[in-house]
Amino acid sequence: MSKNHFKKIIIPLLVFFLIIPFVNAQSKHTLSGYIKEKGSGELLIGVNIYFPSLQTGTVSNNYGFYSITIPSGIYNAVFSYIGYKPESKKLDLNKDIELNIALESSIELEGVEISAQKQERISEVVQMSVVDIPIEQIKNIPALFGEKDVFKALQLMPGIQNGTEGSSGIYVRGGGPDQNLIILDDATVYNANHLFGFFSVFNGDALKSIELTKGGFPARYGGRLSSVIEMNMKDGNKEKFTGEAGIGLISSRLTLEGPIIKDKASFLISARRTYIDVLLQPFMKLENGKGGYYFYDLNAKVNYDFGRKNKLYLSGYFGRDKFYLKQKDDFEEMNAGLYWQNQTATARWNHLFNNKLFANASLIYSNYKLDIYSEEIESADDYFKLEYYSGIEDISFKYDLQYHPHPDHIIRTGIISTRHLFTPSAVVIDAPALDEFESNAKKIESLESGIYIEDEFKYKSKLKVNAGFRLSHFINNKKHYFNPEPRLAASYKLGKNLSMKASYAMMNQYIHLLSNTGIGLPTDLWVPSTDNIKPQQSQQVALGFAKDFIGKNLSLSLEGYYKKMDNIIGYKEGASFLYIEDPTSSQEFSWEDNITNGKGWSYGAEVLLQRKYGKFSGWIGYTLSWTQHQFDEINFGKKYYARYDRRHDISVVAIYKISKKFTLSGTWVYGTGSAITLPNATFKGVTHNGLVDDKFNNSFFQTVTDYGEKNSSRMAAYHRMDIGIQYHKKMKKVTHTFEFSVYNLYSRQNPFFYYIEDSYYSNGTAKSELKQVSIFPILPSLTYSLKF
Amino acid sequence: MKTLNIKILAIVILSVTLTSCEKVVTNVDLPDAEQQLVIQSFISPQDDITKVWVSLSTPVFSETPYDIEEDFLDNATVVISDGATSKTLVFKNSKNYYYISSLDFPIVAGKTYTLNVSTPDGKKCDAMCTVPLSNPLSFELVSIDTNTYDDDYGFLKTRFKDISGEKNYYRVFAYDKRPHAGDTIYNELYPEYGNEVFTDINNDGNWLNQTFHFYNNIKILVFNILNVDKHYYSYHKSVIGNEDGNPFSEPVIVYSNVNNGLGVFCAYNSLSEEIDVK
Repeated sequence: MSKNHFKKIIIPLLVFFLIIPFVNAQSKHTLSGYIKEKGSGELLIGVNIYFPSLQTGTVSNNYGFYSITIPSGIYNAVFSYIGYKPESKKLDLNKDIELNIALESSIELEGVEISAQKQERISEVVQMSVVDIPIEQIKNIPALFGEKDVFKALQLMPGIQNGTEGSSGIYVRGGGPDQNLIILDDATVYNANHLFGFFSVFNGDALKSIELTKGGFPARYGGRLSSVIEMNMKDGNKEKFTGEAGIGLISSRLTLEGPIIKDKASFLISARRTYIDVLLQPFMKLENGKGGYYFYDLNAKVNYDFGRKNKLYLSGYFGRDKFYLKQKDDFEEMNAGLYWQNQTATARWNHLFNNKLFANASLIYSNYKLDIYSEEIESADDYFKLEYYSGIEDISFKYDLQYHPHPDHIIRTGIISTRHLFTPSAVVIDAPALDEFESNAKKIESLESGIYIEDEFKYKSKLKVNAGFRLSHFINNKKHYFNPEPRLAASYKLGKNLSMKASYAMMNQYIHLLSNTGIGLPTDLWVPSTDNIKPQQSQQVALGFAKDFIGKNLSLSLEGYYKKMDNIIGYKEGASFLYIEDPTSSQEFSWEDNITNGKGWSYGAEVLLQRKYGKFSGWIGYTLSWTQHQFDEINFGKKYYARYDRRHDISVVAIYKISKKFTLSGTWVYGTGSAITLPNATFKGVTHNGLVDDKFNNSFFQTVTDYGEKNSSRMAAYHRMDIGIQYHKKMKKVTHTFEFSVYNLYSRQNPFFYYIEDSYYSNGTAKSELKQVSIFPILPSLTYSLKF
Repeated sequence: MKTLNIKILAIVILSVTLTSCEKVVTNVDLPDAEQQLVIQSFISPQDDITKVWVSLSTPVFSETPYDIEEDFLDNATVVISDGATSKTLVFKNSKNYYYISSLDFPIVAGKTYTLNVSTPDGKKCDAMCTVPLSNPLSFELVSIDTNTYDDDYGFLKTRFKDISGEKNYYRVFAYDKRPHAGDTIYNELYPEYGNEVFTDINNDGNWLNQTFHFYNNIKILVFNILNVDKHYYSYHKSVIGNEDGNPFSEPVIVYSNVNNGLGVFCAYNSLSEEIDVK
């Protein structure tokens, strides 16, 4: 994409959109302000501000800020947000007004039925392909071991599935877990798994919101092919000290938040740790030693409100998973272990240039590291230490502007630039006895940037469009990649509360995750695009319908999509991450030689009927989809179904608040089995012996297994039911909640993986049998949490 | 590294299997259970005889006598043809293969050959391959690097020029030739695991390198540089990976160019070199 081309398209577009506001030169004024939660001061994201008489409105942004410019007059402005009591204000807009609103949470109000106010309606919103679950609702869904997990809740939505049982890895519309952009307060999180993906690294107590976009991506997002999972941490109660704590079977957590300076500055700190290591100690008795596993994570945030024009937020995350083995006897001490960790830190500055122009600048740091180590210590001078690590470290700068020139236009533009530092593999050997200290770390530095502009506009009250353009760039070792990414989303109102939506998005991904294990081991290796490994690219079109049933507080969406992916990465057959070989070998391990590229296709249809709030809430989702891959170097270049291709996926989630004290919940999930390759037969394989003289030429035989076409067999279907019951005891200052839940109520033995076992019979015959291993039969759990 | 991985893996598996159950699978469609003909043959103009191995495959999920040695069949009819002439091969008992001498049926570079195999019980299969036109060129022994501690152990670095303008596949065999008990023996030297067969991708017309490990004091080296066809390459690449015991990697599907059967019928054209090292 040459610079001239860029100028020819962008400059006219910019000019066009900036002139619009001046066309209709009637007397107009701006209503703007911040919307917070009453009682905590927590800024609310996505609040609806609507003017019934004008049939127009706007939405508060990620920082609780809203702005709308309309003709002078006397109006009723309605502020509404799911789970909160709506507010109506009468105003005389004869000059610019700054109006800050505090909404009261309805969860605190008892027995209040939300009347048919203008709640968030999916038929009004131009964005399609978005999944949004209120954090409070996630806390009511029964979970594995009672551990509420935001990612597991996302997997219950259509178009989003998990890989294997219990795993928190996310597959969105046929894309792998490497194709999701996971952002926590603007920082990218590279490995979102604790305990091999059984739990995600996100502690729901510290989060304010979670939203997953699976198609029709607005131009402000880029860098991954399949989804954007955006999570915002709570800011911290600005008015009083509060907290939450919980004790579960696997982990315990504590969250504390409160003001540093009342109404001006607040903090939030949330920590979680597992005690599996303590629980398993009696089972893990080893000779002269001990082994175990633990994980912990910590979220912290501090923010300062300088006033209307400036706000500062500092947030950080740190989490680690570690397996360890320690042995000590009279001769030596041995320590070995494997750990992986994520660290993120973000500093964000909100600045209001004027009541129409909002800006945010962020400085972000993110670091992921996987470390495998082994030490044998005989004395202070006689030891051998071996360490292998790999990881990725990012520093980014991001600047975003949001401009509200006219009630029919919201213009967003911005830039982001990230310096990635990859360490695909590093080996450190420290052994004074062998006179060696070797540190062999190959580091690769690259820069990934993006610049975008989008205009979300309305035309004649029936048509809403979000048209955007993103230009992304990547440079690694003098190799440049420039890619234009057009984005378009449109929504057309077909009737009251019914609209048709369509979208097109082109996405590019410059960094790749190599992970060939189906079980989700932390052997993740992030690598950059190079001369030989080109960026991955996807194009997706989606078409759908959205209907709101206002009286019933329900929304129904039906969507069909088609996604084509190019240059996707896979391991060559037989290669794997564990192919590290002898670290002292003179041959260099090159990950580029072990990977190959190919294409992918995914298409399907999704149906979702959802109720986010109410006495009886939940959703029913169904997905019908196909996902296929084609790699020249895999399966001899023939197309095959991806391992995670799942024809049918059904999720039913129901939450019923029987009374103030009791909440009953249940889920049922069903999924077609994963695609696998089963062996057909074995034969005596002869391989060629290169000696020309036949006298010495003895052939070599080995037993070779013939497999059918790749992924031509299916595992048995997966289905499971969970139920939970919560007892809430609300006291003066504290609310206690006890939850009893059962995972896999009818104890179905869902296959986790298959293996083949040979049986020998007394009549001289043998037979190979396919056997399955399942984990997680019926598992009851009891957890306790309190809020103060 | 290996011991480290095993220990970690053990902890991993232990914690996972803590709540696991196993059972025989009955609700999955298993692959068909039928024996197929397997043929294996590697032909070249440089060989004195053309050899073909014929056997039957044993289906995995069916009940079979467990001492059924996947024996080589001796009652099959094996016919090789170059389009104009067809010849039937003869079974050699001591070697378990069917053969024909190059005097009776010469293998010519550039020609296409077809193999037809049938058995008395009605099984039939066939395969086809084309012998690569040229021999590899300009082979060189670049260097011998011995280990700093031990002269008997080290690396041999070799290289040869790729045939430019076409997609090529290669294999290099290296042997340490030495007299032993009045006779001669050849010890095979091995390249880096996984690099036995390779291509000229991204390197067309350039020097291609191959490195071998050696473990003994070497005196005379014998090299056999093969320009192999795509079938040879794909088959060996997949068979060598087939033995990988890594439970976490995807199974490697074995290549076959045999119609109605398994195995491979492939060709190569080679260059032989003997180098005196001492």
